[in-house]
Amino acid sequence: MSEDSKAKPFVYTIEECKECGLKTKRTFKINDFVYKIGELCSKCKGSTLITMIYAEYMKA
Amino acid sequence: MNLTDIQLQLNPLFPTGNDPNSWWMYLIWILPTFIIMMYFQRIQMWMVSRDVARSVTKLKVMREQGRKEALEYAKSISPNVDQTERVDRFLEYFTIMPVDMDPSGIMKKLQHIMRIRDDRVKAEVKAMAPNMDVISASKMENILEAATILHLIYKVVRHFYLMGKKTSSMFFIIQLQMIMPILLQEAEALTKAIGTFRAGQPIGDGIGPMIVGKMMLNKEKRTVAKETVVSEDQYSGRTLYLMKAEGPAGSVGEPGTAVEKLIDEMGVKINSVIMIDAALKLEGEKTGELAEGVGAAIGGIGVDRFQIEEVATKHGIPVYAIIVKQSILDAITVMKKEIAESIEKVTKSIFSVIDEKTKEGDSVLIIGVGNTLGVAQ
Repeated sequence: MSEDSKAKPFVYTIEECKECGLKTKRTFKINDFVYKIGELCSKCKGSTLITMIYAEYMKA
Repeated sequence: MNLTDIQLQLNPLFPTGNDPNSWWMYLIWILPTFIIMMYFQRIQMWMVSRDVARSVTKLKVMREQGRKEALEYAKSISPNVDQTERVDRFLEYFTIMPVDMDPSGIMKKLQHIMRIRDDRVKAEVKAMAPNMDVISASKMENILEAATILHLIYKVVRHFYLMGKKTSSMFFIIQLQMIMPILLQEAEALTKAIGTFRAGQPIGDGIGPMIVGKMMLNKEKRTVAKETVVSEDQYSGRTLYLMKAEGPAGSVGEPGTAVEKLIDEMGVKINSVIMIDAALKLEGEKTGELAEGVGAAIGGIGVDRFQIEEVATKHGIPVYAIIVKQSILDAITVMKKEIAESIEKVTKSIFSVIDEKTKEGDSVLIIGVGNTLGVAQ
């Protein structure tokens, strides 16, 4: 078995602001998908785009 | 205690034949040797059988988990209907491959069979909840496919295990033991994949659609084949045709048919094709590494690859491939950070192929191959 098969995945959503370019990393929520309009930018209140959804593995 | 003392103490274990009372020592040596000679194969069979039985139990647990998750998802989309019978029937669903003794024309037959299968799966899922949206339906299809494969792996392994026990044939059991680590790894990957499909998260195999999807943002999309879309763009005097399965539903589309239609039916003159896909890495290679090559980078049963190769050969179009390496587990479970972060490297690689291998005025078809679950465009 691989190392990853024993580790627990934490899934994150990366949102990128279309105005100021700020990247925000948050926990994945159901109905998120890549290239969906995200939440408002915390810095400039501009609209964001989900550019990535990925898993990071932490050893259990 | 010196060496001579030790030798004297061990002497009774190695009788010389001069001592008439040492006959029992011969028994201690000869009896186990005789038993091992006579029953070695049975002892080995017993040990291997126990090992295989443990693995069969693990596969059974994973099969049950897959079925349970499929039932739970079916219940979440149609809470008032009991889907147990329909899901159980689906798990036993099979596809008979066309006869290959006369291979001429087999690809058309394969394509036909796979289309019927695909339509049947979609119809079954539609029957579960007629008002289900496209994304939920695609998730259900993916979950059912994974649960069916888990069911099949368990059934086939159990068959050979029971055959081995029934016929007392070591060869069934030993062969099972040899391939068991790979089967368990695949089954484990499928079990984890079901959770990813339920959540609608992008999988490692979705890296190709994710890269091309980014290039398609804010551009008009046209459906050219079933669940497959194309956009146009301009780059350094070249026309780019961008193709991927339509997301964020979990689909691989029909890139083979889409390429045929685009070039043969719609008459688009393509000078080069660039295909981006996930590919299985070898042990020791890093996840998320990219490699460039030539040829149609597309997996599956071979129908789409055949169609693309046919069209490319007919029109003399060079086909370039860029692959992102990953394991089977990475490919069907939620996309790893290393894979997602390869997007910039791959995009750079695509444009360097365009710059080096094409000239101004050319048309380039870029195909993002893979399951586009959780990835729009």
